[in-house]
Amino acid sequence: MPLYGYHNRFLEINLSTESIREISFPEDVLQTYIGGRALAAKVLFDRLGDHWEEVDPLGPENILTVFTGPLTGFFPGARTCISGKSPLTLGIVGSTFGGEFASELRAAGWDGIIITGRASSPVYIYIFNDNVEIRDASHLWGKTTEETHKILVKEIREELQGKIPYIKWRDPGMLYIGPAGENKVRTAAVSSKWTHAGGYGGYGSVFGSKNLKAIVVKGTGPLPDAYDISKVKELSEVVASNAVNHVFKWWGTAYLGYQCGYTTSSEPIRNWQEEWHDNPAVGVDKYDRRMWVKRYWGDFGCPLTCYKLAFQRTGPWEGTLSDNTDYELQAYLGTNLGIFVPEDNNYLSYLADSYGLCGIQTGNVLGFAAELYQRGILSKEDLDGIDLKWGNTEAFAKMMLKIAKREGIGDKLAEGTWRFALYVTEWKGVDVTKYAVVVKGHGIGAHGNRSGLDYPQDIAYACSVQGGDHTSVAALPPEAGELGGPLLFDSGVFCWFNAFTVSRDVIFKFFQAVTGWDWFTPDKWDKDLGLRALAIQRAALLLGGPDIQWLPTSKYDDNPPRFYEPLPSGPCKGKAVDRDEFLKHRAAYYEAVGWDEKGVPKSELLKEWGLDNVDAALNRIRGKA
Amino acid sequence: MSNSSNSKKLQDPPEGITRRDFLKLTAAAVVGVAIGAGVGYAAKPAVTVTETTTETTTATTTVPVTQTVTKTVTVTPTPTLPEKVWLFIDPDKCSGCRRCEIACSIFHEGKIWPEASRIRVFTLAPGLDVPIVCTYCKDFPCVNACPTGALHVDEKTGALVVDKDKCIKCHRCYEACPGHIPTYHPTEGYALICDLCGGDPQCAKVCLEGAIQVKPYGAMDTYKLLADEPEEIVKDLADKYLGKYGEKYLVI
Repeated sequence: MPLYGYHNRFLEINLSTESIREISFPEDVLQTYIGGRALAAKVLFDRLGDHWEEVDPLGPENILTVFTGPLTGFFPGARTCISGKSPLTLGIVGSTFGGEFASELRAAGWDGIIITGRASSPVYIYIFNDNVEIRDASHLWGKTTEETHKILVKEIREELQGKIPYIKWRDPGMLYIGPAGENKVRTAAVSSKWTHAGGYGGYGSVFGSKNLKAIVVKGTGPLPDAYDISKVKELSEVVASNAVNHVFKWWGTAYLGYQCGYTTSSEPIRNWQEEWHDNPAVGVDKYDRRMWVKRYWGDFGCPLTCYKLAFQRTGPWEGTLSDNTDYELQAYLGTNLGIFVPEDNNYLSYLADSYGLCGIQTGNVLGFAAELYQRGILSKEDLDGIDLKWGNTEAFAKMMLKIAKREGIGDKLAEGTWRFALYVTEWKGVDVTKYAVVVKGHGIGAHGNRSGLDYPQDIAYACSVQGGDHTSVAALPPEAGELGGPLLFDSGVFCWFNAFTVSRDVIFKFFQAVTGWDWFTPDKWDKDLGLRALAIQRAALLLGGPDIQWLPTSKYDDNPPRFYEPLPSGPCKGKAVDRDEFLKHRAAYYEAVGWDEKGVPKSELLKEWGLDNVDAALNRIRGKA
Repeated sequence: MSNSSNSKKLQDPPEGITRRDFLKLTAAAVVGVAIGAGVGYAAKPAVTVTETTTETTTATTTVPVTQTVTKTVTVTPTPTLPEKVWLFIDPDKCSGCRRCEIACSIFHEGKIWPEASRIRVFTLAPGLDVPIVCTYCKDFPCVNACPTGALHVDEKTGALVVDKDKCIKCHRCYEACPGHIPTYHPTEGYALICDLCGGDPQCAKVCLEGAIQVKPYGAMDTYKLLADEPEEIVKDLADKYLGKYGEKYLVI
């Protein structure tokens, strides 16, 4: 049977040697690792696993993968998955985002891009179908994301219009970084379209480390052939008919700014010192009435349209624009900084986009610094004269710019919360790591697990192969967490908000309609294929390096200390993660996913899966685990 | 202005619509009123109205139910469409999801192929997506500009049909179109212009936001004004939504 759902054409671009070549994968590799996140894990480990600990994520040796998956462009809501050795976790994080980059890449005839090496001066990659070029980007270096996007779209459209004048050319798909990425800020995001970003993992800094400012793609071909296109269409309409009645349709995730505070006591407030509030000032109704100028904004194939266009016509932040503000940034650039004003929150969200910062990871380190200021551990002088008081929007805005530029103390915050915590601990001689709400270098997403009322379980972050990533949480049973959901969706590479609207059965039917794989069943994924990709990601995370290793696992496979402090307020006052219960769940999770009692993937399973190289690499740390 | 003068106007067949079309329009409207449906033209493809439909038989033939329709019928019938329809585009409502492109290209090409879609969404400012598709100018400058007769307007459906074998890829239709809306097949090179899917536009069916709606094709000259460049449309939208900051966010 032909390979449906793929072109099986990938670009490999070495920025050091400026070589560009086409590669493909054996069919069995695609059938095992699917695409996106799982395929990235396989590729990265096969190439770097034998000396993973020595690979500097911000050095030329790191590899960036920009992958789609077989369902990209078919399943409603196309996404792109970016990966590499993460400058935050030192493992492999699959970071996905929306926009039309993925559909343009597939239309250009490619399923993905592997980028190695480092350009000697700033460049961008230009792809027009089979024409692939590495181009000078010196005129873009130093520009904000908005400026970069604007200049490049104009340039590329004018170029295409000049070459082929009888077609009105559309805007190309584009990935790009802002100043934060250029300055190798570990909390820098990869931006796409407007306000779209892959923040988790910190891959904006990997772009910057490679002198890579952007990737532009325009494709004029079709998506790959699907096994049964009429079935694809039929299933898409099943998703669509459910999507229109989903809360994300009308409110996006913005209703959670009140819901996660008031109802589930799981919203970060002042660096997680509290998780409950009853402040209606941050209700979605306020964002809607005061800022939303467009309610339904979606990406390729998406019926859910959870993006909203928020724009401030008046007031101190006049002229700023964001995509909602969505819940994560409502929390991390709002309540977590003691800010309860929708307009101020929207402004900081705009700044994060503009500088190319991950709003979550940056909000996490800002909240951490503000708590140290509150406790008198850091003085105003330490913070370059910035009065980092809770709720002081202008102060946080100033600090964000310092982080993006790596200026003064911003240079230290730019290392992310965990590394900044280690720095302050040494600098001040006080252990401040207990205030860092991170797991394995990765700030925790804005869903706490102390109240037990939100979705993350006690092992959610401690056992995730992506650290504090709230989109990829560990759970019992494993198929209810990252194994069965995010890892699968981010390997097929499609929007899992749309996936939420249907049963798992529909998702697998979708895979079958696109690929024709009648053997691809929930059991096949949950008990076999998914576990393999999970094991590779886990291995990379445990190997870590060069600056940090998350060993022993008994110490680092844990919740941040804050989650063992009782909640101080609200209806869940007094609740915290129960340590004994947590340890039991952690052991059960290790067992359920094929890891030994220390959380290391079992040798016999790795060998059975043909992952001898992963097993051999893990032998280097088994004694320390 | 008296009612009678309005009535008189309504009875004059609008220019561009044949007498038979007009009779059907009128008859359909009468049916709607007679049984109190009170609904407009929607949902039912024009192609199901057959050639045999006449003024006197409309009341029964346009109601697609199997049992004999009598004067005692109380159910709401499926409303009928006039033969000629048009795509009403409301960019204010467009989410930019491109489900229209997916449906169009699957219908015409059997695969998902955004640049082979006859409707294409331009995103030249954040959230201000602009679907571009043939607006059906009354005087069809593209048809007039075609040197080989590869373009013609179907008399029955009003759809603009491209005969790809006659198309010599001279791109004169692109040049003649006030909005430069025609595009060309990415591999075959012939002109791609909306053919209303033969009278049953697929894009409108999948548009969840009401940004693409099938409406009766009337006699207005305004259609040609809608054939505008996406840059001009998005500038207006940016002015409307973002005011003096429009320029900052436009990527044109």
